[in-house]
Amino acid sequence: MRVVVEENHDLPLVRVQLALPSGAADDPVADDGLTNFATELMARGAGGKTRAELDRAFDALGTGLDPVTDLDGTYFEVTVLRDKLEAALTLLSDVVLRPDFVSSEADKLRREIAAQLDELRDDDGQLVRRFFTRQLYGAHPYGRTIIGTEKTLPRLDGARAKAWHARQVTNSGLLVGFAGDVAANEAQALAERAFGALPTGDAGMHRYPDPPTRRGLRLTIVDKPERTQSQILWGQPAPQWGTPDFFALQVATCAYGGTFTARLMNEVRSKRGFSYGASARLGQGRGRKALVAHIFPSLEQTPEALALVLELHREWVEGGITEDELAFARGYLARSFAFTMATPEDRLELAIGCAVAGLPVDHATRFTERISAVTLDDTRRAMKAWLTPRDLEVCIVSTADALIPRLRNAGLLDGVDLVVVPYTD
Amino acid sequence: MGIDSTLVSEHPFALDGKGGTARLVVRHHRLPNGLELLLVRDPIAPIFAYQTWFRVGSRHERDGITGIAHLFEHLMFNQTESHPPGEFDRLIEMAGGDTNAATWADWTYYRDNLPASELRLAVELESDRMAHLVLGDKQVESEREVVANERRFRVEDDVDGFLSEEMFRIAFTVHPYHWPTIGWMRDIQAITIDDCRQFYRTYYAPNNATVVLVGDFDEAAALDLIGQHYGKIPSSQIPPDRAPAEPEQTAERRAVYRKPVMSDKLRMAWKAPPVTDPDHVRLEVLSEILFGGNSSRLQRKLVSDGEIAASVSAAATPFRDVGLYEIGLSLQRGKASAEAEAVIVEELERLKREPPSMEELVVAQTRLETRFVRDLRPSGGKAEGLGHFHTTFGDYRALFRLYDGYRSVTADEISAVAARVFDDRRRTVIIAEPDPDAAPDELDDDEDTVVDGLTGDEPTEVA
Repeated sequence: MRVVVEENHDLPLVRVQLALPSGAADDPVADDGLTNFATELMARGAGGKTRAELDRAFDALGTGLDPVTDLDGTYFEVTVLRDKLEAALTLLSDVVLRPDFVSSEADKLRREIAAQLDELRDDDGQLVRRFFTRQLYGAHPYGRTIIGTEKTLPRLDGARAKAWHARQVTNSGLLVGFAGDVAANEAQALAERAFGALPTGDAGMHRYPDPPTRRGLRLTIVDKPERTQSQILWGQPAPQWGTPDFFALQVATCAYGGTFTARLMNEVRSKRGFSYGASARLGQGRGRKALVAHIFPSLEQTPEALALVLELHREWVEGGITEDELAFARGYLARSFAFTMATPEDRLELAIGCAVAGLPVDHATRFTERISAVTLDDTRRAMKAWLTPRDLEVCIVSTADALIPRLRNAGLLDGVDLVVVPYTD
Repeated sequence: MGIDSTLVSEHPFALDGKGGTARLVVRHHRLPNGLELLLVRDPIAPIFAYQTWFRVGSRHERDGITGIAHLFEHLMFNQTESHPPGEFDRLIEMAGGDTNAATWADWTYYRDNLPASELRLAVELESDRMAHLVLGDKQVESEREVVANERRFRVEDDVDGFLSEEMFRIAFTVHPYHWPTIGWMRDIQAITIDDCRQFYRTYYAPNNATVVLVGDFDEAAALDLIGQHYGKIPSSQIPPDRAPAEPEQTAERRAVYRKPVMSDKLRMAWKAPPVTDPDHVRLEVLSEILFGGNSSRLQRKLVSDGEIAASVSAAATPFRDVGLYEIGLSLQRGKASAEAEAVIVEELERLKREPPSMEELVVAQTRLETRFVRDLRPSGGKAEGLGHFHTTFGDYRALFRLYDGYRSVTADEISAVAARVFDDRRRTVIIAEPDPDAAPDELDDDEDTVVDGLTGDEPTEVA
């Protein structure tokens, strides 16, 4: 167990965050959604307390416990007034060390997750991310859906959750973070008392293989009725977070779509009004995540907007960024880093994020220095090594029978691997 | 040489009984031209939050120019006499900062977060666009299309945004809360350059604004800078707020839509007191008892135990005039909204008859206090709290009274406010039902919508 403390006594408030470096990417393909299922179930009956009793106890402390699972890790977080800290840790200890995995709660949780899948389909932004990830990663661990699918959900039960807990929830991998009104030595003692009894075991931190590479442009249209605009994501796998090439691409991506005045925003929104948002980001995780860009133009303007961004993408990858863009992006990334460390909670989140990703402890302290050292040659070399503008994964949530003729008329389907899937898939 | 400001008041940034922030002090100054300043030196990190709150929002619009307050928020980032298009954002980003804005019914505010060394930049840019914005056809046309796309994103293609818009459209018939802050699409397309110029001249003046500065800065130097840059901006004749009073609602209003959703979505709302009314804080505590944590009454009855809904939430609008207390649910597949309605009404009726237990009351108060303190952690959170309360209540100190207000609410007051608010005749119900096969050209208003008791004159805008 490792304890991280960001001490600050300005407000009578403490955030406690537990993290395990084992997330949805570690779920077997057939059990997609297991980590999320197991951690949710842990909070629905523990230490002999029923779900209702646990909910009442957390509510009485002015907080709530909503476990969060992402691809790389699992997190339990509560924020309480200082005088409720010890009681909150006692409850957290029950959830983490002594979950009961009640069968009736497992049944109910499956139904709740099925309802979450329905809610997800009502949100076009979430839909496009889910389908884009599925297409980009396929069977790779980063292709897992986190909450599972209608196919895997029936397999998830209390027994599998219990086995997951025995395997993954260990002293070896646990991170316990405190931010706020608690002294470092007191936090250490509280963490030992609450979680010291966890058994040793797998420390998590599994490494993942490289994501699949594809040749050519695949365009997936997620068909949903009555859309007046198209949610469009495009991208491809990126280098590992924390590597020199990642820093170089981070600078180049910032110039491409990382700020309000970057190329994408300028060309798509400011000059043409095609989309309210236009952005590009490099994913950060323990394994190789992706460069992903996003716009959402009207249905009528989708062909023109799509042609524009594909051309902008090609120009960016083949032509690189300019000296001015380099200077701007380096300066922006270096100076704005202060905001990711502004509050004790920010600093804790950064420390835990780095630890779960397996980054060295000096990642945060050396970030500005590393970004400032990136040269134009570094960006060009990294772009050449990792990006190929014709090998893109493109995913669009829109109304297929209205969109496809428009794309065909614009010549945007020539030589493209077109896939159409219903949004209920 | 700066223009001197007058210190109007000062108040410790303290939460009674907790004391942790007592070292921070809010100082309220006023310039001769009417600009109000709220300053809190909080050197928690080498950064600051700079916010400008204007007392103008969608309530100051009229039919035909709905959405102009929000469109104007976009235009404020475009061009001034000394800065070409895009330079505002560029300069903020070059300094490592970020900037954005928000518009709602009663206010519009602009926020900049910057490193501590960049206070001069914030003051120069914000004072410049308060007085020297360039408004031409080119600027308006480029933002018009962006806002139309924002509307498609937030309303047309978002069922929750659509239902929220419909709720206010139907619940309010006369008051400007009737129209959405983003505006009707037809008005977004029709607003003229003259409308924009008139709006700017009228409302963007120092005597209609409050600058809130929280973070790591030298107070004397900040006051001097602000005086230099804002001091000579002339004040304006702000027209009196003539928002017509909404007539008393005398019958339930109800509308049903078919949408491409997987399960029913239900919204119920009742007319609710203004944010300045003592009943508002009672309603917040009531809402926490019913919907707050996982153990709250209706989270259990609708979600965890009842398994009727996938999610449920509720809130009272923090508006200056009578607003809404709104409940929103996504139902589980196969469950009918009528079943959820019955559960909600039963619980509201029970609350009218029986005050909540002391345990329920204390849990709700503790949760609200924790959230209140948590939201004030970042400099931007402090600035937002002060700006909102000073703009809406006319006095930033109302922020601190709210914290004490939660604890002073009694169980009997909860029952009494339930009886006053949850009157069937003042209820509006909006439902979206699944219609996965519908296509835009297969629907018309008659097929798509059933509206009972609707007294508004807006045409129903459905697919």
